[in-house]
Amino acid sequence: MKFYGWLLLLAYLAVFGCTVPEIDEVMLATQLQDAQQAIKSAAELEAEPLVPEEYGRAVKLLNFAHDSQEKGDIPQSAEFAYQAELVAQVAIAKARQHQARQRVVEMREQVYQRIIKAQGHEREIARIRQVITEKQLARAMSSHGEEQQVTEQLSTEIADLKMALRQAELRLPYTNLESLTNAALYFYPAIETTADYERAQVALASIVNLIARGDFDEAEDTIAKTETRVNSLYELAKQRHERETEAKTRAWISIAKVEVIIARAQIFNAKTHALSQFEEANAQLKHAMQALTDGRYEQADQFAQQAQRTADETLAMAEIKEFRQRAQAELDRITTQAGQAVRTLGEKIAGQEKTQVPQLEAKLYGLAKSAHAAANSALTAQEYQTAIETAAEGNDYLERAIASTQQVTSIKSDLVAVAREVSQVSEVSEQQNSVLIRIHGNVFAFGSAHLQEGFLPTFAHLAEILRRTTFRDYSIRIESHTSSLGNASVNRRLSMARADTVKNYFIDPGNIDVKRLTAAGLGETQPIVTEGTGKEEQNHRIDIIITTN
Amino acid sequence: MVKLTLYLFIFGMFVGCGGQLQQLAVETMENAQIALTSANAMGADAAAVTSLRTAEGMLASAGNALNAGDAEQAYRLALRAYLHARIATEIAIAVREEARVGEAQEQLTTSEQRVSEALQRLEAIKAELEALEKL
Repeated sequence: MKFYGWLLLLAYLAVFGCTVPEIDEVMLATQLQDAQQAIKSAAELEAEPLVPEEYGRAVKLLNFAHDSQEKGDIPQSAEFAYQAELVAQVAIAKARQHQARQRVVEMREQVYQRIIKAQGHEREIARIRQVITEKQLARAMSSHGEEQQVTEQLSTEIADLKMALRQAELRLPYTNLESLTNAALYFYPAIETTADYERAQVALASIVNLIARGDFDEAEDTIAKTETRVNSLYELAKQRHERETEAKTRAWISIAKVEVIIARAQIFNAKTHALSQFEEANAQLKHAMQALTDGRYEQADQFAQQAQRTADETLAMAEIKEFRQRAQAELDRITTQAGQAVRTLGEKIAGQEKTQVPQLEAKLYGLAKSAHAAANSALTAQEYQTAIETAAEGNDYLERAIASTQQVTSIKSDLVAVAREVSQVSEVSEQQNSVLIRIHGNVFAFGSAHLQEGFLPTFAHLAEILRRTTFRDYSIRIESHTSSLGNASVNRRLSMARADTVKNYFIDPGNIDVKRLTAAGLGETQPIVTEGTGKEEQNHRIDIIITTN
Repeated sequence: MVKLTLYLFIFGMFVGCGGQLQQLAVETMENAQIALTSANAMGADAAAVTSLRTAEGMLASAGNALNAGDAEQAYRLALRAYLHARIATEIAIAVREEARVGEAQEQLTTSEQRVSEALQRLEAIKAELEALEKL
């Protein structure tokens, strides 16, 4: 059946391809067929009337499988179908047992009938032998020529035959008694050692003797008395057989239970935690198994129950000690973990102290330091879990601060690098929270706030850079500075107009969001060079400051 | 009672919320182990070796599943192991009962021979009687 199932699956896959739901459905169909076939085989062995419980359960499971299939629950359906098949196999085996027992009973009945039939033949033979002898005697007596000796011989033969007939008649109830005694022995071999069995055997031997020596009345009496005794013996054997079977099963189950408990105790390291109890339980189990092997079932059960009590105690002790040990190990682990977490955080915070992190991410860095202090307090108060969690929080703040700082630093470096590539930019430098782009030269004509055409590509390039996604969140401040030549008030107004010009250029055509831009005209108030030749050219400049933090 | 409560407490601490299913799996594994012991005692090792080995294999897999934390799979496998062990037990008993049929068949053959022999002797003596009556 299974072969065809697999063949069906392969054929299905060949035709419809190989996807998981299809495999499931085909396998389910095969499993359902197997279960159906097993139930059919059970029915053919008359499992329904012989073992209704198992047969009914198999059918029910198959129905559940069909219900689950209808609901689309393929795995559950397959599970039910598999169980149905297994239960049907149990039903098949049990039906086989019933049928075998029935056949044995029928055959024994037939054997008994044959014995009676053979004894009937023997009795008939004895009767005919008697008739023949009588006829021979009558003939001899009627014959004048016969001698007296022949007549006496025939008379003796008739007497012998009568005796044989009577013997054959008495052998029938004797055989019954013998069969019943043998049946008792078959049921319960140990009955051989009982006084009742011995008495029955003596009585049977006595019957044989009485029949043999022709003491038929006495034999008949003895048979009548022995019948009651043998019947009791047979009933006793049956009862003891049943009791023994029950005791044997009880002992098996008790032993199996002990084995399970001992196995569980081993899992909890009973050898370490409760060695003497563990060894005692094993020794008791060994006794129980020995008693079972020797056929001392009641004793085996008692030993097994004793072993079970000891094994229970062993398991309880082992579980408690193992639990304590695990709890202690857990406590040690968490204590170490908490101390380690707090220490590591402290070292990490200290390691960042001289970096840009405290300045660039002061808030997150402060939170990390507070968390470290709180974790330290929790550790002192032996609140280890709190210490671990708080240290983890602090670590999280610090990691975020470091990551953010690294990101900003990286962006600033990128901005500096690309800005340095712009033509006519004279200086690009990284400040604490910003990047400075400085432009010298004749950006504007003398006294004018109009951008010189030669600088338009420079500002266009800068606008393109500042529009980039990487830098678009940063604000831009445009500062215009003049030299100290001329009137300071005029210089300030002119520088304001020039700063606005750059700002407006960045708005249009530069396409930079106006909200990002501020402009300041600072005139001659913030010179960068105060002495030496060329200082006026150095101070006359446009500064573009991109705030990164 | 105190011991039982202690067991349950400790067991609960170990297994947490999934305890019920785990307990069911453990109990089913115990039942399967008992069924296996019975099968061995019934002589399934000789009479139903395939079912017995399948049951043992499935019980071992159930143990592995339980150790891996999959109590549901452990329960399913333990249930299968139990059923295979039951099959092994029942097959072993069936084989034993069927052997008794063979013994009974031998006894029947012997008794039929006895009847046949007695019948032959009966026929012979009947013939002897008829011969005597004809004289």
